[in-house]
Amino acid sequence: MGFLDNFQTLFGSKKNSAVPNAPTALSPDTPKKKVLIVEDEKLLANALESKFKHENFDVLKAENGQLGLEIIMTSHPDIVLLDLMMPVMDGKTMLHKLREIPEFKALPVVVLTNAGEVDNMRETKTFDNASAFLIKSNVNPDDILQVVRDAL
Amino acid sequence: MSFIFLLLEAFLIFILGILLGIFFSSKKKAKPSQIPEENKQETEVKPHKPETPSAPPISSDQQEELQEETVLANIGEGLVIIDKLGKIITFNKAAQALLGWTKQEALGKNFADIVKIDFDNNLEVKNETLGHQSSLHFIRKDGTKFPVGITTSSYVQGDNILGTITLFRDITAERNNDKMKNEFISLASHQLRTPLSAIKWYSRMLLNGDAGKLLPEQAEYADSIYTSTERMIDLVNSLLNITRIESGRIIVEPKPTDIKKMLEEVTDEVKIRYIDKKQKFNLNIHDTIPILSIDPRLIRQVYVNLLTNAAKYTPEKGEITITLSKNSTDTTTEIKDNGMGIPQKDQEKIFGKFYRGENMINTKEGTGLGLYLVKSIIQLSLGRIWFKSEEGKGTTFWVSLPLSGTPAKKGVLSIETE
Repeated sequence: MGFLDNFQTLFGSKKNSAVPNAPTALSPDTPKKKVLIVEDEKLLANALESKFKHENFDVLKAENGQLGLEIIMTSHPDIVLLDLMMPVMDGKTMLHKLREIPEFKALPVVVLTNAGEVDNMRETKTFDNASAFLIKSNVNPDDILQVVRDAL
Repeated sequence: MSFIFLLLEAFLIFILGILLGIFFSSKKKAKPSQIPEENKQETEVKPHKPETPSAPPISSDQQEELQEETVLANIGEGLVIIDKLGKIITFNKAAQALLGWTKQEALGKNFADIVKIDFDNNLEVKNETLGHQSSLHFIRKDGTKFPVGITTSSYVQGDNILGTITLFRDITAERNNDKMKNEFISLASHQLRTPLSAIKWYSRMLLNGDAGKLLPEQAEYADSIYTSTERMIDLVNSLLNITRIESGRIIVEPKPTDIKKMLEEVTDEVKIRYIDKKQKFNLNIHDTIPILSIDPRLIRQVYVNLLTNAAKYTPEKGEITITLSKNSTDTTTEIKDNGMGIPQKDQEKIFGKFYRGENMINTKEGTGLGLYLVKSIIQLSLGRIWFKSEEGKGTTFWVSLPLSGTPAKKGVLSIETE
């Protein structure tokens, strides 16, 4: 429920435009933050990729949970954006496997999904494992960016 | 879906009417002949006729009886008639096929020994207040179960209850159709959402200037794409919510809620969303409104929909007055606008699915699903909703919620809120 409330607050303030002068964009000394986008829909993944690159993030992409896990092990991203419905390994499974590894218990994961999956997640407690939960069709890339900044 | 149920219901009532007619006419004819008690079972269908002792030629009475007997035997629904002692006196072909007992086995037995009801299953469906799922399961002779649609009525003579007629049918196919329809709608909605999200995201990024600053005309076009997509997403969400509510599997999770605060928040949100219309919002909170045990997500959606409607269908500089009050049993929220109103002839249809007022059809906004959703939620919450409207003058909606709160309902689905 907490996430949904957050989400509503977020949605209520959707008119906020991009945060001006993100500090990371201006100071070359601060290492770039690394975001991993796990999403099988190329159009959506690409939109997020350009948004985050634009905001001076390092962007990694994976098109299913299996590849997502591999990239997390090898590249240690700072945050993960995770879709739920994907082939090979879905997001729910990936999240559970991720949380079983002590090293990644606290890695922030923002779940991005189509709303219908909320019910599924209630049953499987995926809510407890994610740091935020966003419904794709209800948010904009700016909102996602804001949530990522807040989670880092 | 409800339309189909109405049709079925009408059909059942029609059949029952015919049966009752048949039954009483045959009883009437049987009465003067003083049939001995042990023959009575037979008489219901084949009354003894002393005035026509020899078989040929067939009288019109006999022909009528033959017809009645054939109708009873061949009617597509299971038909069981019991006498006042609960003994089965009629058990037609469909009943035999559906329950697996032969007529010989069933006649003279107690109703409850032949027509077994699955009570465990029944308890489960009792929770479902909406969605036409509240039917029973019968248990066949071999122990298997099937969902059943059932109509029962007593037949009486004066003050005497003579027995009960039970008509039933196997509704497995209807159930499956419903399930498939719901699955189709949720699948379609999910599949629609991905491309809709992509259009929304990219048009937003264009508008934000992520791909370079737009010329005014380009920005205007991108904005149209964005707005239309938002509308389409609303429509998909509403459709999905309605399917969920109709499936009867919606979750109701009451928790202590300050509806006064909720109403203030929603009013602010709607006010900001329609700030360009420069409407005046008055919020009057009477009495001390107690904390209510309601599902906040559901009730919030009710307020959002009603207030959005008020703002949407009230012209610029119009006035919207929201009044929250309570009496000894309920809280009542009144939402009054001085907008375009609902035409008299449309007033009975406004809570229907896809209703759009004739005077609003040309406006861009609205899916025709908002009030249907509102009414469904209010029903789930054991509240009431009513309204008064005059075209050109405005509309007032009232929503009352019992102080005793909303009962919790287990389910597997939640509605998606704005």
